[in-house]
Amino acid sequence: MAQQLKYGLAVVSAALAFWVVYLVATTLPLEVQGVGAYQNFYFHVGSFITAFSGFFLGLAASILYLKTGNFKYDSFAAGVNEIALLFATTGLVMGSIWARYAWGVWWAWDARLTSMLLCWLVYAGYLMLRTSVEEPSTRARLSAVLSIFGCMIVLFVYKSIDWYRTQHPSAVFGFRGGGGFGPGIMYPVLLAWGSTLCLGILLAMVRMEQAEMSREIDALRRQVHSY
Amino acid sequence: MGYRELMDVAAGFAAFLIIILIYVFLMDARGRKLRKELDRVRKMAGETEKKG
Repeated sequence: MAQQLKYGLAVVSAALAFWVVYLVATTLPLEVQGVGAYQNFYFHVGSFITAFSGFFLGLAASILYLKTGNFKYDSFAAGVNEIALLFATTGLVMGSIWARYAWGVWWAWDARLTSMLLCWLVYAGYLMLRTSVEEPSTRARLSAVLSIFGCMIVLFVYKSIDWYRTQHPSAVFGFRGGGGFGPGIMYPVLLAWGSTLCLGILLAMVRMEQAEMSREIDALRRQVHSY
Repeated sequence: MGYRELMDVAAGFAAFLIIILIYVFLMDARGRKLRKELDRVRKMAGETEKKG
């Protein structure tokens, strides 16, 4: 069943991605919202929404781990945070490529971009922490605390464009007030988000299986050493 | 679609695919290593149990 779900997610993700590429290449206007090189935007936004969803799921799992001490929540947090970091990486890189065409520079040290880089570094530190601490309960506790701290930065990243004047475009989601997508933009953005979300769920499922496997290895090693 | 827009789209999608593919390859390698290690530790635990 899990295997079939994985294949299903892979097929849906690929189909949605091709659909977005087709829409971008054939039907959308070239000059959207006054920015010529806008086409990269779809997967950039989709990647970040998936990444932030993952970071928040990681936060929930980390809080649950600290509350219950159940290692399943720790495995879940490790899986979703790693996949969220992957999508944060693709979002940053695609945003940088977009910026080169739209702004003429690869990077600008404004509040949004700098806080996102900081957030990326914190979650990269989270993964390094998980590989550097041997004792499972210490590793899980420290990782949970760092995950909660990282999520505070995610909130700052999200609100930074409202709190500071940034080079980054202002809010694009209508529910935040202001901004909003131009005509014909919302549809491919949602498709791209669906594609990255399906891919993210698929990769997180595989990653969590691996986290469970390494937990079993730890448990068996302890069992062997106790004899 | 003009040349500039085409290059932008191609560069963006290529970057996305390359990052995802690198991650998938690394994940696959880690999965193989973990499965191998799990088999080894299971065998070791089984032998220790028999001796014990």
